[in-house]
This record gives sequence, structure tokens and C-alpha cells, in this order.
Amino acid sequence: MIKIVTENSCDTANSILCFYISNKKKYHFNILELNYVDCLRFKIKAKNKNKNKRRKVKWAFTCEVTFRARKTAPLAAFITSVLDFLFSLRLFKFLCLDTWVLGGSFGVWISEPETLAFVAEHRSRRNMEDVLTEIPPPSRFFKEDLNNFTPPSPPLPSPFLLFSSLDKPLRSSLLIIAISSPSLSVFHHVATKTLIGTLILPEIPLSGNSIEPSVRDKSCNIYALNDVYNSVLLVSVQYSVSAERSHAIAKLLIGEQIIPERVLIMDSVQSRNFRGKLSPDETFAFKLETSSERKEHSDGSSSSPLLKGLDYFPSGSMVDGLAAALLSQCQMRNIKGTLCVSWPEFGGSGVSLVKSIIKEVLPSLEFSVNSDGEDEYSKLDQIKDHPFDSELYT
Amino acid sequence: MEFIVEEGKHLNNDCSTLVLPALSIGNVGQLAVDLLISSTRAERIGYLDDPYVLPCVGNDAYGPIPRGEVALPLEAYDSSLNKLTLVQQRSPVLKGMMVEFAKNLAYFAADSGKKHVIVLSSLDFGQWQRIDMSSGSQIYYISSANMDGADDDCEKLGWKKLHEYNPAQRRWKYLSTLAAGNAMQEDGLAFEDELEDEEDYYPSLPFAALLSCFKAKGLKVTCLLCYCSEGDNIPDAFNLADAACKLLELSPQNFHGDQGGNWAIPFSWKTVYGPPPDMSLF
Repeated sequence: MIKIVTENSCDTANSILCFYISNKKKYHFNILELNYVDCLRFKIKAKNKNKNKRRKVKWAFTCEVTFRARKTAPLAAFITSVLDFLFSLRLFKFLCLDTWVLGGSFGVWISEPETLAFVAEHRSRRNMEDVLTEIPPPSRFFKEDLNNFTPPSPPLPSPFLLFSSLDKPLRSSLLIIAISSPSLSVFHHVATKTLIGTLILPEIPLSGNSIEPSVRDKSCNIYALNDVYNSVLLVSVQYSVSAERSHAIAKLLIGEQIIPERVLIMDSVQSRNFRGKLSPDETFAFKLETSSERKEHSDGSSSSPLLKGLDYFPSGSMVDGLAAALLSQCQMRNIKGTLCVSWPEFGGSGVSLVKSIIKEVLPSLEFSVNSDGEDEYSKLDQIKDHPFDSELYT
Repeated sequence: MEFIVEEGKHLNNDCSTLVLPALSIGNVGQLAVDLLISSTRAERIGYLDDPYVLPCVGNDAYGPIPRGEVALPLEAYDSSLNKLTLVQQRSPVLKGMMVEFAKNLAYFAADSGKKHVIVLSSLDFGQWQRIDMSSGSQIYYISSANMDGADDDCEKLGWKKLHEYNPAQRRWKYLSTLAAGNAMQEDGLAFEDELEDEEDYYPSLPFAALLSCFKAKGLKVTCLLCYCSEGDNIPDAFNLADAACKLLELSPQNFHGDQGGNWAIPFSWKTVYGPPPDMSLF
């Protein structure tokens, strides 16, 4: 986050804050969609601090410009983007003398103040000398995360399940939940599956979905895998589920209307939460198991784990979102559950890896393979949030 | 919030003290609870299923060698030897639901028979108004023992009551009203457009919600606070955990670790600040 704070100060040598404004109005600007910048808030608090006619500054105001970097933004690109934006503001002219990075915040030193020019500075000379006492915005929490008085988001209608059959609850020996793009690709090409239901998330529009299930639909369909695996259910989560909605969806899918004996969740390693090296050239997968799943195959038991040959997810790294909510429900309800996270997130190599993992679990599962074979899987690179998806057309 | 006991485990009624973190700058409270759980070899006894906590899972956080024991976002541990229950929170709270979350925790604490709750939290060094020569290692506290937040037990330990705590201040009063269930949080939107003053900072923090909600349930609460900046906050965690031990009359010398004072560093701390640098560059 970049915070540029201006405030008039007596010492113009060190705190060069000259912000001239002709009236005392409070301004709020909200400008979004800056490259690498998630949010820009430009607020001027009309606090009259200094009325010294002998000085140039007659009216002094606190100007606070806050920029928040997008999570994946490289710091240098973020800073450049902000500076470009500031230069583009015709109201302001400034020269950048020096910069520093402070605990996630970034201050810009300014010289040569002119009329209607503003200069960014520390709030006082003391803060200039002691960087620890400057107030940087926290980088691990957003400010709203640490504020009891942040208003909550508007409530959303609850998600719900729709089934073609009235037999509820649905029981299955295995419930597979495909979340990652490679797993969605793999299961889309399972030859023998029957659509039996869907999960409706009210905030996800259905416009743009096709009549027949398609891998590009924004849907969360539930299938029964036929033939040998009569009691295997598959859930294909083809839209992005926010962390805030994950708990409600997980409770819907596990333990209420669907009662599985075992659960397999397929997701990708999340680079933002992974504490190891992630190379796009490497292919690997890890697993996490609930206590009941581990107990099933431990201590001389004749049972084997659902996923063999995979190491446990390294301690210190985490998985969040829907996959985490699902595994948590399994753990709390004492259901045998396994979460498999694979890498890379997209591409043919990821799809091949997931396919090999699934074939170990369900050896007789048949996949429809056309003459393009693996090339067709590679085309289904990013199933969610596809750039060419349109909500306007069905 | 539902408390789910792990199979084969049970809540120990003798564990009458509850220690838990408040979300705060540098995650110091959470790191301190990690340290206490790891060092006391507290045993996980259950999970708290709360719709207001964002989901996350990971491998065993403590070790010494992770065995694939899945870690959830809100877990309860018991240290029977020390008559202590610890709750660890690993992920943030849904936007705007901090007070509701705090109420849920207060219900849990009251229902499970806790007598004393200790909340561990940090404060932003940038808000440090009364600078002293302690260089930030001073522990501050707020206690429910007296109306003004003072507590003789804490004073004897050399701690200072947080000077800025003023239960008559508008936001503290509003929090108390929310905790008692006498107001809807929408009433507080009037605060948003007003210019904030420095007194508004402390009651806005998560520890304040926990303090208010535990007090509303009639529980004795002590908040232990330390100032810090965001960065490598492990030393701050040690400072706060050590303070908790003093209040609980526990001696780290009796812990099971191999660090100074027998603290046991959780295994997950090896990568708490990210992966090691790529040595192939050199």
C-alpha cells in the first residue's frame, strides 16, 4: 500500500508540505482500475491548521492518498504505476527526490512546491528520523480486518441444491469435488456420468450457460458416475467461490443433503499461500487427510490411503477457500476426506498429472478421448474466469 | 459457533483459564499462542466451527515432525498440567463480523465453564503516544477486575494499565452496548463520516471486541498488549507469551522445548515469513 500524506508543518526545511486549496470543501475521489493498483482513495480532510498570513500557506489541509497494491503486483510495477498516475494529475507537479520503502508503505519525497502543488511527507520531523514510528499501513491485514466498526458486506441469499431425484439425502461411497482447472478438464471428459443436480449460488448469473453442460459454464453441477461406480458422486465447481461463501457451500455439499463415506477434493497449490518453490516447469501434488482417513490406513490396517504415493502438504503452507472449507467439514464431521493440491494450476502437464491421480482412485473410469488426445485437454487451460466468457449470450 | 470435540477427547473442566489471540498487527497474539501450544505440548481437543472465520487448512503446525495432522482455522487445545485451554485462530474474520465473532467466542467460553480469559494482542507502534524508555518491550494490560481497567496482580508484575483505555469514551460504550446485544451494528455507521480521533483507535481493535464480549458474559478478562511494528514479530511473540506465563504463574523452565527457557518453536515457523531464498542464483 502506498500512503502519501500531506500536512502542513512549521518546519519547511524537512516537512515540505504545501497543499493549497481555494476552499474548505471535503473531496472524495474513487478511481479504480489503475494497473497493479486495487484501490485508490483520495481524501482531503478540510482541517484548517494554519492561518499564518506571512507564509505562503494560508489554508492547510490534510491530504491523504491511499493506494493498495493488488496481491500479485510486483512492488516496482506498483510504484511505477502510482507515480505515473500522480504525474498524470494535471493539478499537481512534483519532483521525486528520494524514496523509501517502509513496512509495505512507500513514501515519496517531493521538492519544488508550487501553487496547487502538493508534497508528500512524514507527519512530523520526528517521524522522519525514526522510521519505526511512521505509521505504515499493515501489509498482512487490511485496515478493515482490524476494525470492529467496519460495516459488514450486504447479506447474500443462501446457496441451495437442486436435485432431479427426490431421494434425499444422497448417499455415496465417494464424493469427488473438482475445483482446479486440471481436474475440471479431466472430469468433463468422463464418458459415463449423469447429471443429477446442481448447486445454485445466487450471485453467480446463469446467463451465458449452455443448455448441455459445458466446461465453460459458470455452474456447479453434480453428477453420478455410472456403471461400476454407482455410488460415486462428482461435483464440478466451475465458478470461483469467494472465501466468504465457502463455509456455507461446504456445509451444503457435505453432511446434510449429501452424505458421503469418503471425500476427495481436487484443487491446485495456491502460490500466494505456498512456502516452497513453485516452478512452472515442475509438476507435483500433495495431499492433506482428515484424521479418520489417516486412521483408516495406519497402524497395520489392511486399507490403503485413497491417494498413494503423495507426500503430505508441507507444514507452514496453507490452503484457503472452498477446498479448505470442504476438508474442514470432513474433519469436523469425522468423515474420511482427502484434499489433493496439484501444480501447475493450468496446462497439459497439470491435467496429465491429475488424470493419473484420478485413474489410481478409479481405475475403470473411462474418458472420452478424441483424436487430439492430450491437446484437447490443453485447450481447456483456464476454465474459470475465462477472458472470453460473456454473460450476455447463452 | 459450534464446538466439536475431537474423537476420543473431551473438554477438561479443570482447565478454567482460556488463552486466545486477538487479530492484531504483526499477528503477535497468534504467534504467542502458537508458542504456548507448542511449548506446553497442549493437546488438541476440538474445533470451533464458526461461519465468520475464513476457511484455511494446513499440515500439523507444531511438529516436531509434521505427521499430516490437518490443522483447521479455529482450534481448541488443553494443557491439563497447567489447567489451561488455548484457542488458536489462523485466519481472519469476515469483514464487519468481528463483534459477532467475539460474541460467539464469549458464548463458548461461558458454556465451557471458563473463569478467566486472557486475550493476547499487539498494538501499532505508530499509535504509541506516551513514549518511554522501555523501547517497546513494556507490557500493557486492561483488566475487567476494576471499572477503570486496573488490576493489582498485573501492576505487581510491573505492567502498565493502558492509559488510553477509557470505558466512558463513545466507542468503548458502543462496543459494550453491542456486546450486551442492545444495539445493532448499523447504528455505528454514524461514526464513519466523523473525523476520527486518537481515542477511537483502541476500541476499534479486535481485542476490544473480545474484551467487551467476555465482560458482557460475566467472565474475568485480562488483555495483555504490547506495541510493535510489522516485520519479524517473533521476538514480540516471545515477549507476550512470556507475559502470559507470568500471569498464569507458569515457568517456561518447565516447558519441553530446546530453545532458551525451554520454549519449543513450532515447526511451521521455519517458513513463517516465506520460503528461503533461491540459492541457485548464487
